[in-house]
Amino acid sequence: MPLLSFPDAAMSADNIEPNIAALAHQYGPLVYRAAYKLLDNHSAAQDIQQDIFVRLLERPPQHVQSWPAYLTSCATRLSIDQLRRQRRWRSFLPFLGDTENTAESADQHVSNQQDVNRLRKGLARLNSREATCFAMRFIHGATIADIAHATGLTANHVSVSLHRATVQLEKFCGDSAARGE
Amino acid sequence: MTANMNIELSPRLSAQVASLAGVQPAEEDVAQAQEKLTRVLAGRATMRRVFNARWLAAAAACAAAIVAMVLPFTASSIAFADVQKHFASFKTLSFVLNTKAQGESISQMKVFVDQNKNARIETGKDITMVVSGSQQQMLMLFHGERVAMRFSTRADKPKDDPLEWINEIRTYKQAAKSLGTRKINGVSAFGWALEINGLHSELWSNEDGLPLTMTIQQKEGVTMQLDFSFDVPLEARLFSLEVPAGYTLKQGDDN
Repeated sequence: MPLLSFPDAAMSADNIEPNIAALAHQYGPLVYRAAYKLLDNHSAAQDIQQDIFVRLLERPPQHVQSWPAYLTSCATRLSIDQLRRQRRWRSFLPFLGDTENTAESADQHVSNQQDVNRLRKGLARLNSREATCFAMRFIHGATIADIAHATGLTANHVSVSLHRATVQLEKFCGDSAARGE
Repeated sequence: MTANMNIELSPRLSAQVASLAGVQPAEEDVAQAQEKLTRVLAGRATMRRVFNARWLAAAAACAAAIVAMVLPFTASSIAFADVQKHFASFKTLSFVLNTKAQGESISQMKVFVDQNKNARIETGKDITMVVSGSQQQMLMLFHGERVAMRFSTRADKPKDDPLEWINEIRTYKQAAKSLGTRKINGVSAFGWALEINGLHSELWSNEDGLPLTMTIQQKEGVTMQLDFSFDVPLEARLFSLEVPAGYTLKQGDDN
């Protein structure tokens, strides 16, 4: 089932005071899974899940059209930011290089895992908006209109971001695959 | 470039995307994260509420309300009069107030009251409120931050009187409806159904009329359960308004 077709039973679009506990009950697992896909780390996904709902509690957004879309967008954006921070941090630690998950991959020799790691690295190299749009569209299955609603971008802007992200990822993932990374 | 452009991924990128989209966490990790999220939100929600002075005053009155709530019921049943007697004549009353949403516990309070209407309310491990009935003062302790705040519990404006709802309970005229008997922790218990401010409540006592537990059904699947202990000796320090050592006193908001 496409992500954004989930029924939004917890809240109507007109409700300006969302029941955060009910939202967390209904969509907490969705947010966790969205973050986990990108981060592959329980603690990090849990932190993002908590961060999102605590922020909602402290500053609830108004006129959200689709809570699953909105929350997935938040989880994706924060996860992308986390990936980008990890990448920057590694650049300051040359002795670590780009070796994350290398041992795991070497042991597993599983092409799926290599694909996943390669794409995560690629997403971390994009700017946050482009990476978020790409992940929302192709990993979480959102439509361009849904991404636009959830992120506040125009549909045209989303399309441009998707195009740029795709071009860069095609190049990065192709190059890194050719290098055997 | 338009919004309707159709972006095609190469087979290689498409395969990578499919692999990443297929990543799933372990279900026990999802459940653990969800459980922790529920606890965190309940704690945050409590923190937000306690910074609201009116809620503070109402919460402080909670203990007194529990004492008062059975007083107005008509004594149509001798057994129920026995229950009322315990609320009217106790030396100390302690209870644990458990709030559940959709069957899951979201917060727990421990409340201690003495016959002088002093009260102490412990909200989880984070916050403690001490109320002095005679001094109309309340001390709040935020244990994580080691901060203390003092508030007046005096209600200057009648319409804002947080105790007003207690008066509504005092004027309650309906008879408590018997719910029959059941076992609670191996003890035969006798129950009564009550309607308080439109909320359905059930109060259960033992055969001597000693109240054991009470449930209050709130909106949206939220239930409060109070488990009572009567006349258990309480140390005087529990009701002290002194700022504990190591805590910084900050100005409270009485508005």
